[in-house]
Amino acid sequence: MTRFLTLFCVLALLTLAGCASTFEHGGKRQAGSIVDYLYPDAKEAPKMEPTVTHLRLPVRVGIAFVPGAGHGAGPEEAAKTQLLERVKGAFTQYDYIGSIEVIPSAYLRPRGGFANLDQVARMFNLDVIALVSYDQVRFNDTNRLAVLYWTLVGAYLIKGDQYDVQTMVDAAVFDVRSRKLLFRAPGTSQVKGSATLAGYGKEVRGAQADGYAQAVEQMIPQLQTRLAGFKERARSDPGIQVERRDGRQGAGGIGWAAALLLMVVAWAIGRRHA
Amino acid sequence: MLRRAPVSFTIGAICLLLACAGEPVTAGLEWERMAILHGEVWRLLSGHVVHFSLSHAGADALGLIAAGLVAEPLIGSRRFALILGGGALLVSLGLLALAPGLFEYRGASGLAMLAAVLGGVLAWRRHPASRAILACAGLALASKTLWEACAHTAAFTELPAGVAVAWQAHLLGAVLGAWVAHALQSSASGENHVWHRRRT
Repeated sequence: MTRFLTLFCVLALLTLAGCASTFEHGGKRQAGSIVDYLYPDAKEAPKMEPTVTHLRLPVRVGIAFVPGAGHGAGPEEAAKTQLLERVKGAFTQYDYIGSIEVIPSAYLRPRGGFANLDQVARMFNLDVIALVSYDQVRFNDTNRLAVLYWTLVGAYLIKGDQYDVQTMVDAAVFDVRSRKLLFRAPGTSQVKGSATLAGYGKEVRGAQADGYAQAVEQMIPQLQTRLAGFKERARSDPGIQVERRDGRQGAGGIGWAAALLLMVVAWAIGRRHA
Repeated sequence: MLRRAPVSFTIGAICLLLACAGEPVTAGLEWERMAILHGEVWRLLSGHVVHFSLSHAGADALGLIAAGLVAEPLIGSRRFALILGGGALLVSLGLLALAPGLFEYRGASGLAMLAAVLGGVLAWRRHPASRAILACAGLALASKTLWEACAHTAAFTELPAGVAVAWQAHLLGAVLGAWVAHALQSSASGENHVWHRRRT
């Protein structure tokens, strides 16, 4: 009987230990790198050729998440669309942005490069594309309360697991024709929390989704500031030429010749009738 | 010269100062269709004193001062200032209504054209000896505006790439100048007529 009880205790311990060990400790990373996507096989830095970027206003903009390296990388497709719709909503009031298309991930090939970007731009009739890259790191730790997981009930009631989700998103806006980076804006977030062993997976998935949402929320005003800055830069930068698709910038320019002619007339009249 | 046309010199100086103020200031003051339609009504007036470059501002300021040297002494500075203010507003509203393809506009040349035509018409009446030079200048300005309207390129005007001459502003300024000159002459002849009738 004693031997049977001992065997039972050992098996119970091993089973509980097995429960705890199914749960991954340490951390996990999800990343969609813009460099990996645009320059998949680059062994050296791309050569910069001095080209003039022609932007025809109102510009047709596409916005997409950079495809991740592996299966299931990054937020889920529905969440991606939701986040991009939020970015789209923040930019609809600008008259120089004609349309914003949210591009589903299925249209972007991992490591697709500019060839893939050109295909998407042609498919969606885009002038400019905003690529949102992401890097999310999740750290997992257990606290002292985790010892109560051994009670089995504790695994459902005691929040013995801690997580720390750090997210960075970065929107890089490219002119498709010249392949030039126009401007970029980052957004970061940190979501911390604790969970029970049983509810850990659900809590962490929620924290990861919150991490992306908060980072995107932080990115939107940055993107608006950079856009305003770019608008000013476009006026002075000879490498960027902006013209209206259905309208134009006009100047009331009388010109030096006409001004001098008027000056001569004024001088002649003044001299005769002074 | 400054005493002859203080309003023209002041507006010219404002144009030059704002041209040195930098792009953020200029962008906030330019005539921008969507901004005006969203309630930024100051742009209806301020759009006429901001420019795309210092050279652009210099030419417009010189043109306005030259035209003001003819027109301002003939009608008085206060009346000239009111006419320019009202003219700026009407030219801006005219651009909103008549030039739907125009999204942004900067420049004092609409006002310079208003002052030039106003001064020209008034001087034509009061200084018959200067009619030849006035006719030549009028013909040159009309040809320039016609060329810009037909060819869609600037004549003797250096503008940044992608910026076209808004000849509509020149035309509106000229029409307003002619109308104001006609109104002033009509009121002056009406007053003279009353004065003669009272004397007889």
